[in-house]
Amino acid sequence: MGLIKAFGSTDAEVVREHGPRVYALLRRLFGPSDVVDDVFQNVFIEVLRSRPLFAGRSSPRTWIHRIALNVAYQEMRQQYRRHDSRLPPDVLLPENHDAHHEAALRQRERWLYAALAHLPPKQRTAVVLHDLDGRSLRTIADDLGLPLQTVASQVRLGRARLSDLLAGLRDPASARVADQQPDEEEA
Amino acid sequence: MSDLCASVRGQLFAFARADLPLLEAARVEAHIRRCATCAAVVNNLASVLPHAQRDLQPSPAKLDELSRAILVTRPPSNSRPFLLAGMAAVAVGVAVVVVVVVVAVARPVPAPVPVPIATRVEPLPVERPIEVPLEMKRTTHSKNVEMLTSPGFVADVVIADARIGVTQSAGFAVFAFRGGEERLEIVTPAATVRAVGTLFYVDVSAAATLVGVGEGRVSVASRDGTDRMVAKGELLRIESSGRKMSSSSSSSPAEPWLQDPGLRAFHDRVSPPAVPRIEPSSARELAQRLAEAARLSGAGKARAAQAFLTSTSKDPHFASHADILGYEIARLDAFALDDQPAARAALTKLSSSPVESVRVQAVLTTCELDLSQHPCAARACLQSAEARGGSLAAEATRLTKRWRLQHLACP
Repeated sequence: MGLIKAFGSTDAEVVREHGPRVYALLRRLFGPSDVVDDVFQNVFIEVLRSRPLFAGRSSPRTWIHRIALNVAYQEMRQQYRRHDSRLPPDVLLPENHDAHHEAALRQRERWLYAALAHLPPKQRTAVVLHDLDGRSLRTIADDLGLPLQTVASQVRLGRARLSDLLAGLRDPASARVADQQPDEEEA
Repeated sequence: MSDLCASVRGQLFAFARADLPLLEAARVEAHIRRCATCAAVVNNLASVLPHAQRDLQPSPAKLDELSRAILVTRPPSNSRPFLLAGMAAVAVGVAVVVVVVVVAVARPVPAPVPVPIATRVEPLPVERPIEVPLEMKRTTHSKNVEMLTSPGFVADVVIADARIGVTQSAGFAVFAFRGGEERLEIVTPAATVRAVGTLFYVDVSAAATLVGVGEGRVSVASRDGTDRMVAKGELLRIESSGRKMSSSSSSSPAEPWLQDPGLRAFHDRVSPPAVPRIEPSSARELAQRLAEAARLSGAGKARAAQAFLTSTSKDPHFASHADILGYEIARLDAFALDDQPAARAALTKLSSSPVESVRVQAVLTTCELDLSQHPCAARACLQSAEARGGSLAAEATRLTKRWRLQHLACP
């Protein structure tokens, strides 16, 4: 009874109760992209499918949050593999006028997320959750099931790579060769 | 890439987040004061980070739309409601299972696959005909761009520095662009369209962006980074995911709008000269000279940049800007050519310049030089600058915080 109540009594209630938080998380991870809608659907299809298997060892909110991170991680892996060696044109440095105009901010947001998409998925997740979502390293480590030091290292490496990508200092193709080894090891 | 930039490699994002240790932050600060590219990266990050950190909850309508989409495509629920209800349903369930098995044998049921929201909510045929409205609005955004837009056209238009940026989120628009010294760029959810001097239209729907060209050609870059040039008579479709492009050479229903007499007349008029005219203002020319010097310096040619600025400072045309040029030369001495004695001598002289901005910057740059020797020297320098009051004091206070010197223990 308790679990059913915690999850809402119908599928629609589950989506209504937990959807806003999951959507905000995915929007943060993927930026202004319609991939967010697709991943959101995948998350809740998985949540509703696995709902009878929920063992109650954590809160439904934490359980759904972890499913969302797992599904998002799979999408990020696919994106990372799919990207060719060139940065997309959007990643070119935006011109420095109208810094507070809404359209200019959106352009800068695309610029930032285009570069984020060239980070290895674990670094991308760690940087977004820590630097954009404001989560502590400890919380991220718990959510991802990784040691604290590993998460700190992912944030540091991700920030450095992101800086170089945004400054046009790093060719993503060469970055990828260097990244493959640690990423595979961690996987 | 400049060798100079290597000194701040990997630190710009952390710097923009104000999350660097004291000395590293000071080093980055010193670098971005003389590197336009890295300064632009930091400025862009500083403006976008609060935007990217904002609350991103979906609107109730958006959540409803997503929720409907999930509930339509979700797999058969295997949840267990209440035991009694479940037992009561067993008999019915058995009957249903028999029927399901029969149907499954006859036609295998595919695994649930998420369907794009737009397709599900409002099914669209693959080759959706362009819905060209009967009434179009005519607007002229600059002497080089005229547009016809549909009633559903939604866009932000930004015009600055010879660049016309149109962020088109919905609707249909025909553009007549005459080139000249301006650039026209249309950003849609699926792609970025850059005009090369042409007559073309852009149609944005939930499913795709369509680009058709009547004259000249346009460059299209989809969101996944694929570049494509679209020629006259060609129609390009970019799926809204930005991952797929398809083109055809068939004439489109929008063709009549490309023949619009008003746009044609606008387009066929003699284009203005492609070379931008230099304003007679010496301030504008000075800005161009400084930009050229920054470019040379950024390319590792600091000596050439210094020679260029020195020759400019000797030009009588720039006599009223001698202090500004002197300050830029001193900065090159200080940070690119490592000639600190020459830089300090020049900065000391400039710290009593009648030009306030030069006076302020000269004092602060002296403090910056002190920082490279010892943080306590920089703090003493900034404290004496604060005592002078005015805008210099405000800048000195800001730098004390930026360089994190306020809590420094000094003898």
